[in-house]
Amino acid sequence: MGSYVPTGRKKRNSISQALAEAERDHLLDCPNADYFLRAEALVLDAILLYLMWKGIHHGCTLIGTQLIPWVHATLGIQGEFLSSPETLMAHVALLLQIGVLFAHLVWSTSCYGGSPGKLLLGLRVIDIADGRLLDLGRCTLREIVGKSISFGAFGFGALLPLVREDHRALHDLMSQSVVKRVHGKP
Amino acid sequence: MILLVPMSPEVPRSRAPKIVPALAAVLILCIAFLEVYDLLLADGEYIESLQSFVVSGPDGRPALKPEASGFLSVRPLLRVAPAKADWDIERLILGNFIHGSLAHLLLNLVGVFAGVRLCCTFVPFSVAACIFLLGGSLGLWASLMLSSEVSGYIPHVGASAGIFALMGTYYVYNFRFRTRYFFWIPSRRGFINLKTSWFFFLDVLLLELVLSAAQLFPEKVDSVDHIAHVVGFLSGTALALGLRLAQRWPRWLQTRGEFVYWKEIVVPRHGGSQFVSIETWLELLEVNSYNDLVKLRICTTARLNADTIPDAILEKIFRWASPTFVRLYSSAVAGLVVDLLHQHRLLPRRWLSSMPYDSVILLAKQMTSSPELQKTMFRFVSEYRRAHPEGGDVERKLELLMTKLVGVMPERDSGLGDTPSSASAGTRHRPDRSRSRRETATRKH
Repeated sequence: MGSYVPTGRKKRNSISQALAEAERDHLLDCPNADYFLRAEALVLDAILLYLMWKGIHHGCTLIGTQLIPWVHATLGIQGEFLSSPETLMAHVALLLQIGVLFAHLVWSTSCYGGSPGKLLLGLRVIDIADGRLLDLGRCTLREIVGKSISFGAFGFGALLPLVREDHRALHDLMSQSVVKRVHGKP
Repeated sequence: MILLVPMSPEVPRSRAPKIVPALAAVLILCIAFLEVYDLLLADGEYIESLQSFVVSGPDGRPALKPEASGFLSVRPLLRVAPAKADWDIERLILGNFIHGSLAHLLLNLVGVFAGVRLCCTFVPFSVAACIFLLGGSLGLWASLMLSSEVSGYIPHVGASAGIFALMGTYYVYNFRFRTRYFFWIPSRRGFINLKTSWFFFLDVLLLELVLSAAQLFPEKVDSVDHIAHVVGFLSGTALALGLRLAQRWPRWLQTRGEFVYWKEIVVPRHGGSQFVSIETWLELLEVNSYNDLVKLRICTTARLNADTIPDAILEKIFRWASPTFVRLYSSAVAGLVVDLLHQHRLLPRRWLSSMPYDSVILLAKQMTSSPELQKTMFRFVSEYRRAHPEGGDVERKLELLMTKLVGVMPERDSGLGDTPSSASAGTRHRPDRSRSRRETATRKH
């Protein structure tokens, strides 16, 4: 455990807020997640995303190549969009895949404090200043922009936790966040 | 299955899946493979000799000359394996034990080993074998009926439909409980315990059904019998559900050990009533200490008897309220804590001292809905603070928490012991440890 001492905060006006603040103080006091634990979460996320990505692709291909032509032929339903169902479903698949990517990385981090891989391994992404969960904008900055730069620059940004004492990567620095190990044995 | 390999339901070591039934199943498949090995070789040579009958169809896919059907109908493997145009029940059953190649056998041996081993936690070996045979045969039969192939004399073989039937059985019995998965995560020593229902979607729906669905149609057919897999899984699920219904298996019991204890001891003792005593629920927890549903029932029963439970039983109840249970079912534990504090009962000191700080915050957050509950919450946090030695990390955090709470708590005396004014920030309130429950109750009145 660390030795975090909270600085001055604005006035609390309810028990719930006081408890939430205590919880945030506790999160800030948890140790920072090391590089290897974060790498495990990253691989776990990559596998989960790959499975969902392929599942959507196969499902939409199936609908585009089999179900819509069958509906078209059997029920006699006509329509502009039924003329090229495979293209239509390819676009739907792409939209769904982007939606899943956003929900998995950004929305999940904003609402629960981490992607599913991180949550499974007991990690939380929080604001380094006050321990709050990041809002949607900062999550987008961290997960989309920050990680693109981190991994795009020959992975230099993602390797930063190996050399930094606080184990923060480039995308953490950009979004003023930190990854804490909340559950699990050291 | 591929992502996270289920190693065992989360049960104590004494209830963990046994290896012997799984080895027996593996042995049976190996013997069956050796028995038909000569037949497989002969069949392979026979099929090789028929390659001249294979032509390219109008759509570019392989097709057979019309006269090939006559030759295929007498292929050696059809003596023991079913095909769409030539099958009977005996060959449907035998088909579960036959594998087309050594690689096919090895892959299915892994599945059979895992499936039988896991299912034997819930059902005897003989029942697991029956589910394997029935589910597998139904899967093979469905694949014979539904698949479209170049010839009606292509044998359908393999134990995979039976393995999927065992998988369905496992999900029926362990759906509400946790599973110990193997994954390569070094920080968790390769294991991670998760709710089985969480990964039902990923394991079954996504991996097996959706990914396989794209291959159910003739254009996409590969050599894997996906229809048999899906129907095998559904058959196993239906069989297991029927079995549970026939057994009158209570939904709060996880393992066979608990079920036997329930049938043989609890039911005769309580005359079939579901309203059993706390002591009996605690006995069930001795059989399987990981059963969260029994713990929830204990919480419910204890709340109803909060004023009469002996301290020794209370100590036992809280021994099972582990941090994981508190995290997953914080409202149930918080309800019990509130009821006990309302009855002026002291919470077990050992439990309080072993509870992590974040679990206490979680419980405290459940006690904020009304001013009355908030006072109880304050008393709970005070008791937690008393249970920890001075000078530790938790003590430092608790002091901060008390400071925060004092700032927002009403200054009225709750009549429940500690009040914000008596435990103001920075001054540690030293409890009078000899204060008895009766004294506390008297002060209340």
